[in-house]
Amino acid sequence: MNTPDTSTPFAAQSLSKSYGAHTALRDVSLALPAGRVIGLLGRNGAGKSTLLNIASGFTLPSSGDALTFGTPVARLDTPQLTRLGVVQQEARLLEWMTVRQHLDFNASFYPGWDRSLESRLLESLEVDPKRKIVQLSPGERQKVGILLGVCHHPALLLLDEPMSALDPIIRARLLDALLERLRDDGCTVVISSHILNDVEKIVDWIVALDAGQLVENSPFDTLQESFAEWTVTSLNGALPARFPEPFVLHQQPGERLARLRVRTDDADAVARFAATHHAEVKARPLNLDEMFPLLTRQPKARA
Amino acid sequence: MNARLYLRLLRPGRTLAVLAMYGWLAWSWLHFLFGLPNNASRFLAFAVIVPAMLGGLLIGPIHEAMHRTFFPLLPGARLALRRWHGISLIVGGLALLALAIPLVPEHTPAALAGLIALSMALPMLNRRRRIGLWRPYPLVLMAAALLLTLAGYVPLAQLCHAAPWLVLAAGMSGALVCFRAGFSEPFVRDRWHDSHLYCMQSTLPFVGSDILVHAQARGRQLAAERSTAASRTWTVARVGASLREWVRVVHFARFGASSYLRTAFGLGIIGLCLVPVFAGTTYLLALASSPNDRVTPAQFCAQLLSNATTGQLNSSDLVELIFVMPAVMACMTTAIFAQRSIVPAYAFPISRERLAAVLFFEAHRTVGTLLVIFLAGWLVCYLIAALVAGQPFHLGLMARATASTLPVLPIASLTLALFLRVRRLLWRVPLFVGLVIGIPTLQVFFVKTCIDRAFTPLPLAIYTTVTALAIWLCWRAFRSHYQTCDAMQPAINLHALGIA
Repeated sequence: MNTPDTSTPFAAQSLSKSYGAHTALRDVSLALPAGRVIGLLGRNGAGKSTLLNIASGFTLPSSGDALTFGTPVARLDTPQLTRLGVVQQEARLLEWMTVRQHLDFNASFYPGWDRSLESRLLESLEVDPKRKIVQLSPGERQKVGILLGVCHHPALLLLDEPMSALDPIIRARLLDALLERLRDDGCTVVISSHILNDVEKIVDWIVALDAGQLVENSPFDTLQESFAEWTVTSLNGALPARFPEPFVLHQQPGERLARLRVRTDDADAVARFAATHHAEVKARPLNLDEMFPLLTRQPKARA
Repeated sequence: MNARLYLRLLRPGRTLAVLAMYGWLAWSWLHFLFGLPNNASRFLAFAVIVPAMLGGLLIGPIHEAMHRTFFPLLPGARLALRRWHGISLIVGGLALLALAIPLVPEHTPAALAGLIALSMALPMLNRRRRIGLWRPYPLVLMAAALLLTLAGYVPLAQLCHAAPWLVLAAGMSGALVCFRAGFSEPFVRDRWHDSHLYCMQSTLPFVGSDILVHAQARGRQLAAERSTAASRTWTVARVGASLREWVRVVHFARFGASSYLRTAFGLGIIGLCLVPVFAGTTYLLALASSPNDRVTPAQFCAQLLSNATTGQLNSSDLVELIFVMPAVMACMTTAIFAQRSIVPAYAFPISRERLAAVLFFEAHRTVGTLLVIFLAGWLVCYLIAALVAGQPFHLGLMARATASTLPVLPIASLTLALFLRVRRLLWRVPLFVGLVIGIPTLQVFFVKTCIDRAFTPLPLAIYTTVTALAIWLCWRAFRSHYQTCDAMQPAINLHALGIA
């Protein structure tokens, strides 16, 4: 990575991170596109939080390069940090402060802190600014973490399980707020969450990790076009016990009816498959929830 | 970051309150307990110890912020806090220098400035990622610092006399090194990993505050994430029906990898710190009450030893406080610690009857440990007193202290029963105060009047009967409570009682 590109919010080259004997990230190379909402997917322990921690400079790579706004993460300073927003699953704040005091404290470090956005978010997320942090429930603390992460209009917003403790109404409001930020600021949002139904509503790019390795880095539209569930009904005789096509990722075979989950970019694949197996094939696109197990169990990276 | 926000972070009122409290303790220990001449104790207190405390108090809130996950993301926060800390060090240092110059006239301002600068800067080198929650640690550190300072006092004073400018230059250089290192990026970077750090200003009044309760809950959570070889093999089937095993499970849930011995050691530090603190405080009060009739430490210790066996004193009745205060403190501490152990950290797969038995046992084990620790504290106190007074030590000296401390057991049992039985908070406060302050005070004075008969069969029989009755009442309260309680309810704390 010889030519730092300041327009790329985050880029990594051969990035690895180990904690003792445990390798959290293994040889990850990627560049996050600017102005997108990126869904960072992976199973527990896949390395999502580690990647976000490295991008925000919390953790340094064991090997390889990691650049945020073109600057090595070990050297992030005021120019980069003012453009960076991070919302953590479990924000650790100064418990003795009130919400208002904490907002004032954080705001003092950002020249572009938006008081009107702060007021709007306080209202829509239903946060009482007079309450002490120590008296807040985990969900309320998460809301304060969101406020602290977004009110300075970051160009790169990293959200690590930001909705895990929020109720559905607040989650919907948070998603609206994120879309508003995207519309108004054109910021890049990276959201790591297991609540895929919510993520699906806003993401337009998917990065997937599995066991510390990058297994997907593509536009969401492309994924939606290539992943599908085929319902295969035999027109003549029994269906094979197992379909050999390499694009079939998961199958529930049956004598007359089979359900297959496939990934193919070939537009004629359905017709060809139907002709090969003398069957009728009905295709429907997969949602992110259905795509997730297929994305995170692929043998090699497709980036 | 402006001055208003920095001062909000620092909380000057609390800072000064803590400084005054520990500063006064440090000076009184030096002068009265260690018997240093007045000029020497003032020199050590105002040129070394109080500046080090102030330095620690000034850096504490900054370290606390650095140990939070939001801190590394704040642009320029490290440098802004470095600037404000530098300003506060200069202001605080000058204030201490202005105080020290008239109080320590035998040393030059240059030497004092060097010592003050270095002492204030040293706490910045605190690399601890984790601070124990028990308040006695500052006392222990203070005691260790005092001993080291006392050992090095003479050469230090001689150096200050001989080469004041050298002391100034060395102190300032050392302070600068500490300042640069304390705010360097590598020093700050990894602090966010452990958010379990709370400065003194946050945890005031040290017992039962919201932050302390939160910190303890967080500490339990962190402890529970650690495991021991024994806990890794625990299963419900393995634990079986043994009460002893279940007590270990409950203890593990509360303290994680910490063994009971380690917990007891922590409690022991509390006990061993409290008794000398009260002894020193009482001596000060005795001195203050009779300014024209100055009592030397040796005379005071001789009176203490005489009082220990006969209950009679030749001087001020204020010395009676030396028996009352530890007894009250012992009851209060045991009541507080024991009532914390009656709330389970988790719901366990055992019957409510068994849960009651486990927690009853755990609570009384805590009380018993504290009782032993307080007696050990008294033993240490009398050993020191015998040494200072130049008299031989014998176990008979422990009679009054033992008789004053033993009632902790029935009082703690009754307090626990009270916490479980009395639902209305309004009633709990006066009952709690009456139990942990009123009864120990009364029994201390009662013991005084009959110390020569305290360990005869009749008083011992009465004590045994009362204790057995209190424990039985406590067990009934436990059993009844755990039949109906919400096993996940948070601990009752002093805040809930409206005290803190």
